[in-house]
Amino acid sequence: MSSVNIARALKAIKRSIWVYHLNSGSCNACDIEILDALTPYFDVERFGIKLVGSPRHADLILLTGPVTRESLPKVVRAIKAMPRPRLILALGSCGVGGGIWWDTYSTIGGFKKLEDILRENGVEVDRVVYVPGCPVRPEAIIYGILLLLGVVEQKVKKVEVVASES
Amino acid sequence: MLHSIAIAILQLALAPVYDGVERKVRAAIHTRIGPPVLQTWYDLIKLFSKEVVIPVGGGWYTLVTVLEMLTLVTASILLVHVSTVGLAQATIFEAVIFIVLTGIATTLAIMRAVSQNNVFSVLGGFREFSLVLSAEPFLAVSLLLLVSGVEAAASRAIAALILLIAAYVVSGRVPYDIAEAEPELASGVNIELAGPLLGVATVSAVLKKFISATLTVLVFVLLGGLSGLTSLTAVALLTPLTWITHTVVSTLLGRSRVDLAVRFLYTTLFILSSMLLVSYGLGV
Ligand code: SF4
Repeated sequence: MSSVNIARALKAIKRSIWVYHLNSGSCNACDIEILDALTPYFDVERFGIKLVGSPRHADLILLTGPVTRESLPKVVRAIKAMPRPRLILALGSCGVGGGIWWDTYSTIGGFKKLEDILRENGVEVDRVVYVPGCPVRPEAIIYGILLLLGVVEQKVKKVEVVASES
Repeated sequence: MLHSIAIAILQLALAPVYDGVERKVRAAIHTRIGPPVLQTWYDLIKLFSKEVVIPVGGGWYTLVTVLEMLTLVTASILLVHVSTVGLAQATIFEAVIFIVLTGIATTLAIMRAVSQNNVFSVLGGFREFSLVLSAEPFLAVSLLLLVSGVEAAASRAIAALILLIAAYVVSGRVPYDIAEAEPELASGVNIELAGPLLGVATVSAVLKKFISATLTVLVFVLLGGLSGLTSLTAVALLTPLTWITHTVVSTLLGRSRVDLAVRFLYTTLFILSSMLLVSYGLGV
């Protein structure tokens, strides 16, 4: 049982979001784009975004890579170490769905599979946003964070259409 | 005393705003927009609304973190009280109490860091320890000398200089932020803290900056011979200005290697203290 009021905490996080960079076996191109997004050029501090050095301090994990088998236990531990609410930004084609390694023997294939493993281990994740791209663009990373916080609207939405009989 | 406590509470509520101004000024130097001035308040509100995670060590650990903050609050109130009477009228007793309080706060910070089952936290604790050893004894000696009302001009000037440098170190800014220094070193005294406990540690960090700025102002007020209401007003107005000066200095200074920063500090303060000893002995 969690000791936290998630809705209230999410409201507070909107003005102050601390991010932790977690590489789960990426080719490093997405990581370079993350570093780019955190440079003074993009000035993410104006949105209250700050890079921290420990998952214990973090509100959001910037996850890159397709989650290799080797990194899986460490990734689960790092996400578990975050105090709730836990937010995750799955970055790049690899982070979103494994990319070109989605069915290889040495990776589990991106966040979707990781989500199931986290659930099995009782680690709750409160919000996830997927940011595709290979590598992901810095503007897309910042947009993804703002989308996660509800500062901007989602541009593309899934619409289900049912064909009529006639 | 009640008067002092009321002013101190007002000043302490403003301290996170000064910290926000610091971030804004740093951003301006970087030609960025920077966060809103209330950002530190937003950070604190966020931290206190997050999940409570008690690190290994349990309630004792929580108690130490909270006690550290309370000790720093008391030290801040004492400093504000001293500024209502002026440092010239402050007694040796008040100076000793202040030194003891800051000493206790640092000891508590080191204790909670080294008692963690996390080697990175222990490393941070040792870095804090080396920093304390190379700054706080010099701070104590120069403060006691100034408060004792030594008349000799050279001794007063050297003691004031030592106090100014040591006060900057107490603020925990670059390059003397090595106890935490996240995210560059990915290890530090706060590494295991999360949510509200990290919030308490953040308040402590802001209080250290407040103490540092107020102490620096008090030295100038003393050298200027101010006391009473003039002194109180001067301290209240000059504290944010000193805070900004510290910010500019820290933004312009680069990060130094963890061992070099401490060695350079120790050597500088040791040479200055030797000069102080000589000038005090000669009575100049
Ligand atoms: S998405 Fe592309 S750039 Fe990013 S880690 Fe995977 S392969 Fe590299």
